[in-house]
Amino acid sequence: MKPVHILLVEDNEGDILLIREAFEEAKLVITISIAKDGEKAIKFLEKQDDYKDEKTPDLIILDVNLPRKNGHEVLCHIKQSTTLKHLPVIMLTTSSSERDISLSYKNHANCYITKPVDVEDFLKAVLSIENFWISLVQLPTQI
Amino acid sequence: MGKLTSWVARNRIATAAIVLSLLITQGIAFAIFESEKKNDFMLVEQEVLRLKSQLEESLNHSVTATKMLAYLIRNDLLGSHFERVAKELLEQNAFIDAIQYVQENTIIRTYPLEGHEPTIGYAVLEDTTHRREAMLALERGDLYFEGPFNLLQGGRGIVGRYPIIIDDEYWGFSAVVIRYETILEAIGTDSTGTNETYTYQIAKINNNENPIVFFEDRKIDLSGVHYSALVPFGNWMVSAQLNTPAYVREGFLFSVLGLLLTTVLGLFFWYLSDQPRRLQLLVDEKTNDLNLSTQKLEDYSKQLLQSNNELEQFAYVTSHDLQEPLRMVTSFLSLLEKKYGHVLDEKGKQYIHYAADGAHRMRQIILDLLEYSRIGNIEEEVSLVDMKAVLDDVLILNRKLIKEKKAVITTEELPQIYAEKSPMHQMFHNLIQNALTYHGDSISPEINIRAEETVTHWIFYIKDNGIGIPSEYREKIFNLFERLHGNGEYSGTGIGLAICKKIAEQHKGIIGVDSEQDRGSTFYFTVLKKVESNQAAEHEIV
Repeated sequence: MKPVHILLVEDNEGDILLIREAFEEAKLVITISIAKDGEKAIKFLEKQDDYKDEKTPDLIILDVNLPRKNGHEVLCHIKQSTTLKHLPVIMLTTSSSERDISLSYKNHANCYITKPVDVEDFLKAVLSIENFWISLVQLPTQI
Repeated sequence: MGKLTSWVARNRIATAAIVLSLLITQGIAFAIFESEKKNDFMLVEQEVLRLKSQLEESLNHSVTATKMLAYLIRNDLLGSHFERVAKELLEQNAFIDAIQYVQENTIIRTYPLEGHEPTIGYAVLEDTTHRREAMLALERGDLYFEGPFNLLQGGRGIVGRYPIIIDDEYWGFSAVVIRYETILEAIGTDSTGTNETYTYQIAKINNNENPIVFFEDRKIDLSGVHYSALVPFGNWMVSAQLNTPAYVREGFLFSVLGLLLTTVLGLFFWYLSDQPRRLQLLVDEKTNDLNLSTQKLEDYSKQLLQSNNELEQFAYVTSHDLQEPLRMVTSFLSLLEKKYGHVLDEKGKQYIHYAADGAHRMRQIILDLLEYSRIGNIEEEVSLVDMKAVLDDVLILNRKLIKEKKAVITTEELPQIYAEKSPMHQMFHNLIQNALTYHGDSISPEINIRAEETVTHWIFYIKDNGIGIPSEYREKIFNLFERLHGNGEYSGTGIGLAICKKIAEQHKGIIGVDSEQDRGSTFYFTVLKKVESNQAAEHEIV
């Protein structure tokens, strides 16, 4: 199986670390690219400017509260782009507000996860993403 | 003018009263006027009559004297005794200055001679005026006075003539001369013809010539209060006039008094009729003040509401934003312990432990604060809530703790009430958690939950056998961040009961506790029954 490439759109350094460490315990080889704000995320996906050599990811983990363009805007961009809309987008955010959740699904997010507060639960959640989206699920880019 | 007519229209009674008062007072004044006038005229009449009688009385002496002389002459008894007779006549009869007789036209003898010399031999009746007057005496056949006129002998006076007829033929006259001064003395006036009260005049009636009057420069004012009477002796009109008629003054006085009274009445009625207008002004003023203060209250309460809202928003946003960094602290401390615990000594592990514990407590506080700020901020739906179901939910949530403490929970039948579900859940959760936390070391918590119904409220009781609360803190414990124990004794944030209090108030109920130190506590809260007519229900806690 090809190594899975994940684009993590997240501005919180701490969370980036946690997620990286969680994925490091995974069975599979996972490459993680980081975009620290919404604008950079879009540029990455569109291979613009500094990102022209980047590869399209297999999976996108998207935070909502981002500088410049927020997660909803990035989501909309992805799901309206003919070249990107097939990519699974997992919303992973601190927000548990109904508004954020329903808006995300309305804009065709593949799933929405609220970041667990407890660190153990957090790691478990990340592992669950791995188990489900990478081990279990057939990804469109992996066929 | 228009104002007056409208006033009149509005105050018919007042106008009628004023008009009536005017009529009555002026009527009385007029009556007094008339009566006084009558009185005055009467006085003057009396005075004139008095004067007349006094004059006539004094002139009667002349009658006696002239008659006597005439008799003597007629009966040829005089002889040469004229002087003696005259002297005696004068002595016997007052108010005569001289006595004389005229034969044919001429004055023959006069007594006293002294002062009257010019009269001797005077052909008196050749003078036109004297002749005429004398003829009048002759016609009357009685004493008749001429004058006052300037006497031949000097001075002024009157002359009275009595005709002497012998054998049906004119012989002459017996006459008296009375000087002006004597007349005055007789009638009791001075030469001015006035006194304090009256002004007199005696005027001879003659048709065409200059007036012959006793008091010069005087004309009786016919418009004044006067009276005239005829003294036939000399065809004199005796008149008197009241100097200061009282009736005008009196009448005027009463009229003015009446007007004053009416004016006072008028003012009084005006004041009365103005009362409603003044009252209205007062009412308007007070209404205005009331409106202003109501407005102020409204503004203030609006401000308060706004400030409250802002505060709650602030609390919400703050606690929300605080959670993120806290998560970082807790997460990495935990990871630190997990991955690097093996290189740390006991002390190091303890450091991490306290840090993690602090963070954990902080998180709890933030969650509680978040909950506190949520209440009232978020409009929840009031629905029919099965309190039994809610309690069961809460017990399930706390099952781990219940099991751990070996707690015994008993409930009695709980009703379905109209309330906000989530807050009720929170209420039970907090109270039960407290009951499970604040108990003696070796004692298993025993908790009983029951409900009571009153006309207006539902009352819920949560009874425990815990450590109890001293009476002085019974109200304090519901305040935010108020605790009776440190974290070493019992853990808690001091927010739970404050949240319960807020929820109770939200439901228009109250919360409280019956407790004694070491004897357990019974927490109770009330919920207002949702009834349309329950606008201002009062609490009834037995």
